[in-house]
Amino acid sequence: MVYEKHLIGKTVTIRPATEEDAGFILSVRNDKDLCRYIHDVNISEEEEKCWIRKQRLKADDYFFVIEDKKGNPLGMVGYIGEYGADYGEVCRLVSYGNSIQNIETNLIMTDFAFDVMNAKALKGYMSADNKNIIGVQKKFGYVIPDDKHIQDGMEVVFASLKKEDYISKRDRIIKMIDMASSANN
Amino acid sequence: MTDEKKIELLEEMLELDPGSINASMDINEVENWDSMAQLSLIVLIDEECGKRVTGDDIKNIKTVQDVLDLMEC
Repeated sequence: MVYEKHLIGKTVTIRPATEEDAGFILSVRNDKDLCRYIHDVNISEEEEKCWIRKQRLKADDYFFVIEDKKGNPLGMVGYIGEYGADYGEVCRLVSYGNSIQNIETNLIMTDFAFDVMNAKALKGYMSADNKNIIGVQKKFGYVIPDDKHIQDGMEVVFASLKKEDYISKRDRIIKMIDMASSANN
Repeated sequence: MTDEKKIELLEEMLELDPGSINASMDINEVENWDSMAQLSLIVLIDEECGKRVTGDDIKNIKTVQDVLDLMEC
């Protein structure tokens, strides 16, 4: 599906991905260093365009391009609604952005999940080796048990976030983004 | 600010025990060093040194020594 409105932050703008983004998205997915914690893809630009075409029609599946404030593409992020409207997953987040841009992307997408998609909770999984994202998600309020599982051939940990736990962390995260982004102006 | 004081501030920011960090460490060896910690560091340097560090400066950090250099007031 397509969410046509742009999600606007202080350091990033998040807009729906189109077929024209296929080349950029593929270049991101082929960046071995950036994508070391997600599974490989081996497709052509035409196949990527086809994937985006199908994704745009798929119920409860949203895919976005992240841009800096100059309109340069930084990466991509998605949201998938699961189990009806109650649960969702912020997913496919891969970005060349700096820490401020990446944290703000996560914040905007979490707000999108809870406030626009009306998810009651978020669920997801991440590489068990990705200490950065595990640390960040815990600070967003995610509960991440240490138990490891195999998913898509990778060792992963599962994570879940209740809206009330996120709300209790959100103000502090916004304050930090405000302070850090003002230091960058 | 001395390097010892900077390391003390860093350990406090990262909620680590005193002595957990030394200047020669690779930044990826430092526990709790994640994107949120990087945001905290920007705020810390702004507050402690009145110095503006960019997100891209933080992205280029490879070692604890790089952090100490950024914290030079």
